[in-house]
Amino acid sequence: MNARVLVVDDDPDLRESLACLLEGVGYTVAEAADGFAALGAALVLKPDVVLLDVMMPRENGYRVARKLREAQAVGLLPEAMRIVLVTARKLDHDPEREALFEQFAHPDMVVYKPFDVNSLLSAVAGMQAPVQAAAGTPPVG
Amino acid sequence: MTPPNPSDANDRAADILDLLPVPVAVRGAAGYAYRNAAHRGVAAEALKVDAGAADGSGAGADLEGLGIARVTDPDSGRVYLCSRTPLGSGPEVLEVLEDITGRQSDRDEIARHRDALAREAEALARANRELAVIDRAKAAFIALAAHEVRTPLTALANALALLRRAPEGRTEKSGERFLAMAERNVGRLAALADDLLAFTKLEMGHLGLAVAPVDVTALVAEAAAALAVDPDGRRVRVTGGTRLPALHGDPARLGPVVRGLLRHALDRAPEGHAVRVALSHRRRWSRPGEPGDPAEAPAAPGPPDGWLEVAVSDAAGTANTDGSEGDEALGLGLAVGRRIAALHGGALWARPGGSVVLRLPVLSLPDARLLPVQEAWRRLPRHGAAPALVVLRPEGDGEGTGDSGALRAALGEDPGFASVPEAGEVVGAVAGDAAVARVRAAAAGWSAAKGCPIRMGWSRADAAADFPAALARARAAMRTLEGIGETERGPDGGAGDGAEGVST
Repeated sequence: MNARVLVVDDDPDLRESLACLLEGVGYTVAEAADGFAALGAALVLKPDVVLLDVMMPRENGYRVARKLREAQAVGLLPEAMRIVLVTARKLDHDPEREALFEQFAHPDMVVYKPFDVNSLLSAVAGMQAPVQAAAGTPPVG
Repeated sequence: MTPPNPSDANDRAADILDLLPVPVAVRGAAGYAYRNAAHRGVAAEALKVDAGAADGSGAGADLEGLGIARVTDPDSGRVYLCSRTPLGSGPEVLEVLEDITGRQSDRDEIARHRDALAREAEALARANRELAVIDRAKAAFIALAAHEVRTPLTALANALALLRRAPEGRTEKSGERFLAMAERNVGRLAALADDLLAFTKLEMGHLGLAVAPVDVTALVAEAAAALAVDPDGRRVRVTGGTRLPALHGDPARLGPVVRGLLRHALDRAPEGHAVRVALSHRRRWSRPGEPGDPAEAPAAPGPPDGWLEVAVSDAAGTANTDGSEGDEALGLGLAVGRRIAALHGGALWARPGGSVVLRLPVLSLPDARLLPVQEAWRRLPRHGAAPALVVLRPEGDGEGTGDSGALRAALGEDPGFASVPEAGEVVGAVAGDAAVARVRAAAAGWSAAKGCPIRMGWSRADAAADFPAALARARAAMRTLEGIGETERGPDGGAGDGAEGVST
């Protein structure tokens, strides 16, 4: 079975383009336009990887990631599910705040927009290999 | 006063000191003194050393241990600064260094200067704190701009990557779709560049206002109509658009702000939901029992005719729940709107719970015309050259030369000046006497060329001066240009009001 990727972004162009790129290399892709929709979609689809935008209406990506982790902890989502925060919110002027948010959300990886498409696809592919790192591994990207 | 008999030592000292060409007195241990022949104006026997000399020790009179005494002649009331040199165990020589009568008032003057310096230091510290706040705001704004650019840039890069990759099974239709996506995001980037330019102009005070009557209900209706076609079924629902008071502002600036508000809410509304726009007239900034918006509240008492409010929220109340604040919550487009609202004397902010509010003062046309001047007045530095509010009133001669618009045009492009035709005035905010003089010279030139007399007045201000008060003072001080003296100064040396005149 192809790996399943859930793309969550409130920007329709970004969501669609990411989905097309992932589908183009063989992933099964689902899309969600906001945080609440992402939680529902994740519980139904049980994705292998969630690409999660941070700045979204209704529920931001940090909070969604936190809730996804909580769902993982009680067995509602696969333990192997990986979360990648995709954000334009690079808080260069406030790194402490950024670190705090990431500590709160426990992403497996943080990717900053604009990102290199090939690097992102490689990273997602790498996540399909047996993952040794636990949730909360220091982010890269 | 009857002096005691002098001691022999004092007699001897006096004999010697009489030979000296400098004014010298000898004070005995019992508190009296003699003068020498060169001593003029000092009643020697009556000399008294201030503050403690009466006990004969003289120690108390020594100013800070410097061997100097302040000596008073009670008959003449004069005060002398003297050096003191002990002669043996008792007498001492007091050499008059300087007549310091009146220095008490000098000390008062110094104390006043010291207080003024302390106030100035406090004002500078306050200005530094304000600058620090501005610096932080600028850093946050740059971060916001970078953030806003990254999303369309990423979408554009992805669209181009999709076009280049030519995935199997890609149809011409999908190619068109990705091209359209690329073009759309190029457009978004261009709009962001426009926003940045507008923001920069606003920050530099270079964006003027063309004030005219504004129908806010119509502005909202136009914006709603322009955004009505939403592929996801979102729509705009307007309430409260009747019986609103007339507003005056720049419709060309306010229109995009209203459109931006609606677009902002539509972007965040869930599919199929409506964006609600509530229009209302408020007599006061805050209503009883209603949570205020203290961070945005203007200074009391506010405009006499109250405020006109446009509150925009989506039906799910989700416009601002991502934890961001200020400009970050509004995005770059609405950050520009926030500045335009401020330029109109109002405010724009995201209210916790999901609505974005635009509130504008209900001003008469003449008052609205003064908004750019008020903004320039607010921006003038309160240090160095004193801010001045200038009022010029051309006296009409029946042939149109009294037109304040023509005089305004003659004064150049300065956005800190505005013509108020209803009052027949030109009002401007400038920094310092030299700027006032330049305005006066320009006005005098125009007056001579047109044969149109001009009345002029101005008021200077400190940090606390509010705009209406400064304007009232400037108007009260008006007189004809010819009647303004060339070298007169304000009553307090330049910090006062009026048409006292400046050197041209």
